[in-house]
Amino acid sequence: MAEGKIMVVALLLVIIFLGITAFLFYLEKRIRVSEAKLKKLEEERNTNKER
Amino acid sequence: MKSITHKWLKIAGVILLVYVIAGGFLFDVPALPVVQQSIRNIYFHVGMWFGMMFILLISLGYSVRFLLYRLPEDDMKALSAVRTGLLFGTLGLLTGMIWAKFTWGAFWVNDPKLNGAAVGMLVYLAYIVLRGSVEEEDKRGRLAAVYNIFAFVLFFVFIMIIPRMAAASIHPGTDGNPALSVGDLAPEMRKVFFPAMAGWFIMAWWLYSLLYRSTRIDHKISELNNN
Repeated sequence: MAEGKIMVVALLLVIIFLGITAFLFYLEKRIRVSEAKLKKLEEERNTNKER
Repeated sequence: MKSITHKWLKIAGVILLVYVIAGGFLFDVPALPVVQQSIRNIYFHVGMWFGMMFILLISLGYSVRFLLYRLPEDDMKALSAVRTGLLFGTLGLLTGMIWAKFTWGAFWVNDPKLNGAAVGMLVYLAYIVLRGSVEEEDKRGRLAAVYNIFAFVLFFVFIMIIPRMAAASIHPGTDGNPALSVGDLAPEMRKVFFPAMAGWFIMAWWLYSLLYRSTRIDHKISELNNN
């Protein structure tokens, strides 16, 4: 009985942890997109300045 | 190539910590008096604390580098590392408090090691406050870098040297390093403890790199707006 309960606790913690890491991967993707947009914007500004 | 290596390192960190959570709760641990099953907290409390030390060491490195080369990126890296260190330190304190409740009977006891850890964290919180009080970027970076070097030294004085001098600490590790000294850890616990260290180090580095990248984006946006 007690063994079964600790299994549930461990499983729940693993699920919570995986949820946090999934959020971190999502955040990383968002940051990558923002970095790419910013790079493009910087390049556009530099081109405009050169003109 | 670099991003692929980083991606696999992060995945390895996640797998390691999933193993640590499962193994930490389910694998056998020695039946010790007083600590009993709470010894399982060593995989989390010590892991987070070591992760914090690792990331604060990175912060120190970037602060020294900033003073040498004056690159704003190094200042941002030092700041991001301190923020990550504070998060890991807070988690380390919380897991320690829970452990203390079940072994010493109170969430906080008047102990040189515990008080030293709290003061050390406050020293790093002051780093964030100091940064907020200076407007000029280069001046802020220089001040923060010098303070960060002092903060690192002070932190280790508070958590390593003063508790050893007091010699009356009930926290383990007064004679060496907790969990790392010979005889501190049962052989069956090492198969979870060492992966836990690696997993928490990777997680600290991952969070730090995310924080740094988002800080750099903020910095670039404000630069673009100013130009």
